[in-house]
Amino acid sequence: MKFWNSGKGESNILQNQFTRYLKTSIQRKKVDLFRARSKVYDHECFDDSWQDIPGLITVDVYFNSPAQFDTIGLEQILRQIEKRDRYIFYAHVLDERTFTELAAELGLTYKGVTAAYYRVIHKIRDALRGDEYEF
Amino acid sequence: MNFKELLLRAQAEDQQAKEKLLSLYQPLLMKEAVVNGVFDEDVYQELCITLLTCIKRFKV
Repeated sequence: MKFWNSGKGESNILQNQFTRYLKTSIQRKKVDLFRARSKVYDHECFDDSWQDIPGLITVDVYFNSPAQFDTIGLEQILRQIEKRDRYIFYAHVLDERTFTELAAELGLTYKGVTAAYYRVIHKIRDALRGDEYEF
Repeated sequence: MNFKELLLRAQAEDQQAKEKLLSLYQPLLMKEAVVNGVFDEDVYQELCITLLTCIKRFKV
């Protein structure tokens, strides 16, 4: 069996066709494989170094600088919001405190706090024109 | 035995013919299985499977 054929004769032509067919499918298979691999790598955290990945917001970032978000607009919107409402928003979203707790602290009713919170959410949503985020 | 016979035999589930085709195309598969300058065993295995499916699907 020759590794390189002259391309003449039925058998040689067939072999060339098959090799071409094989090469194409090898390329496609490789593309699929690497795509699947990179998908796995993207979702894996090998050690604690995920804390150092730039752009990833961790709890520390929130507590140290609560006004820094990767959405530039969000910071400006939050500045325009009333101080008390902003406090409710931060306390509920970042500190995960309940509305009941906040109501007792601020001297409001539970309903008053939730109303303030959802007012903020609506303001942010309107300003950013995105409604895909559910808080 | 020429290539056409070999391929037809392999398509008829002849184990020997398949092995012969595999050894014939092994250099190509080895070459393609080199990723970033390193021979990747997993890719090589996948490509061997690809060869077998190609044999099955190729219309003579």
